[in-house]
Amino acid sequence: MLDVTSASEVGLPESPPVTRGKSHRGARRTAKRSRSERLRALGRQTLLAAVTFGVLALIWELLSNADPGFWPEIILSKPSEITPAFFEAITTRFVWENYWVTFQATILGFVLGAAAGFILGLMIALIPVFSEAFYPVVILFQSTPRVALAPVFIAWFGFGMSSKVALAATICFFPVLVNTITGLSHIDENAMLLMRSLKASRWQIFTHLRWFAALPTIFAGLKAALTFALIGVIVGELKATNEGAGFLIERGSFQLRMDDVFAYLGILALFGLLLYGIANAVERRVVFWQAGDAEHD
Amino acid sequence: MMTNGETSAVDLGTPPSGDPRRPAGAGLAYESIRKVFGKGADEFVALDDIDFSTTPGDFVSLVGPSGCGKSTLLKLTAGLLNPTAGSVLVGGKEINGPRTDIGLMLQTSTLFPWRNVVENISLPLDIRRDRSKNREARIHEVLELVGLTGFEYHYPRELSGGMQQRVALCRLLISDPDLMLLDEPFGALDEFTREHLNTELARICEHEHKTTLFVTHNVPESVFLSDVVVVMGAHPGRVLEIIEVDLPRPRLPKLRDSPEFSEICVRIRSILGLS
Repeated sequence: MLDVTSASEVGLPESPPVTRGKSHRGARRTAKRSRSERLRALGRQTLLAAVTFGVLALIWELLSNADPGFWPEIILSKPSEITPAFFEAITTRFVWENYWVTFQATILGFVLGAAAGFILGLMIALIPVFSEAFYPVVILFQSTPRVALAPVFIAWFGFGMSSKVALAATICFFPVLVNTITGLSHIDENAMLLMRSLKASRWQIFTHLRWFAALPTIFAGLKAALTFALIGVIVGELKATNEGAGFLIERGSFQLRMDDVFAYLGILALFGLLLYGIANAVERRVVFWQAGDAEHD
Repeated sequence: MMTNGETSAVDLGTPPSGDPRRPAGAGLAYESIRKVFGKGADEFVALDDIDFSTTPGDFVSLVGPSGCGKSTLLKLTAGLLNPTAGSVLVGGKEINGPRTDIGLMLQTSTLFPWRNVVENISLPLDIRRDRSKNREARIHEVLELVGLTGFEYHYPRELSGGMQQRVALCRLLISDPDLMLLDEPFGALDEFTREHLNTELARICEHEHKTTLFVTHNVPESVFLSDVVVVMGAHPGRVLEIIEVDLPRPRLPKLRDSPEFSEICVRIRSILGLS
């Protein structure tokens, strides 16, 4: 569902910029499609996804009745136990408080990392000196698995909020940076000729052309960054806090409460989906002209 | 500016009172133009010894095979390139950079997808910070001229290729340039749309009386539209011959079936070595 590659989350270099996902875009194939058509397509998708989900859960449930040597229920749990655990979790204040912490850390990390990535990207793309000075350093850091920085940040910032925000911000930084540079560097030659023939100044070329032309690519980077932020925060929480979703999962696993763990993971999945949905909705408003299936390049 | 208020779509084909070829726009003059790309072993002579001039208000076509430098000559005229030697004069003034009295239209419409039709047409006005009150009225005037009334608030992706080129033409006309440079403006369109738009372009140019430089590799297209066809050859890019097209105006679709039309086409094709 999320168009983020797992290679990126472990910090492998994602040198090609994050492009707009092609999957799950069926619901907005053409701009002319009416609202009702879109809703119907969405309904269809939801139904099919629910069926797949149901079938998988059923298989899981059936397998849990098998020989414990083959299917150790104690560490795998089963849907009929996870479901009540899930509903109990989402009605528990303590759980909400922990997810709220994760949410705050994710947003904070995202805003810091994305803002830094965007500003540096802007400078590298627009000021040649910055490009020469910073780009090699950026490439070097980009090739470092960022999650490996977790212990470093814990050493620097201690346990708690700041280390996981720092980790999230670092992970967010790169897709935004790379996509900002790429978006601003790719200029349609003919559009450029047109602007020059109109005697547009450098600033006008930026405000009328380059900025808008770059927006879809920048947004793709921001969307990826938002998901990355969540990854960063969870990794931080698994390592070094006593609050947050990652902490709940860590503690549950340690106590072998697998039904709770799966319930927490389920909430986390929904949470990720919510973030992605918000990002998509914002994107659709800001980059409204990109509503088609066409890949921006 | 371009039309006088009471002009309606019906009388657009008829030039304003009495004077069928009112001289307007700017004359073109090329003085011993030479354009070389690259240096040393990579040197490529795009244009050599281009020397001709045209009458203000003329529709001039540059026709030739690819590599004859016709687009280069157009870019030199636009001030987007500088000649290696010689000079280009538009309206008697030498070109040494882009000029606001010269408008450019390319094969791709290069409409900005984030701007609707009206906003795309206003781009030149935005860039020169023209905030005059009659902006809207002028935009509607040019839209009417190309038959796009009713599409003001559509976005480019909602328009067909032909309609997009019409919008691009409006964006060119809104500046009221003395010289229009058209680089294969309908080259990417299908034959049917292309012929239709050429008829429209002939009508608009007859109405506007602007000097027009039109680049194409389509011989009938150039003959249909032009007063003068400059036939060019490649390696190096040069002028082979300049043909006056003395066909009656307004140019209407049936002209394409006339023997006079075919005769000129055949002549140009033979100069190009095509027949």
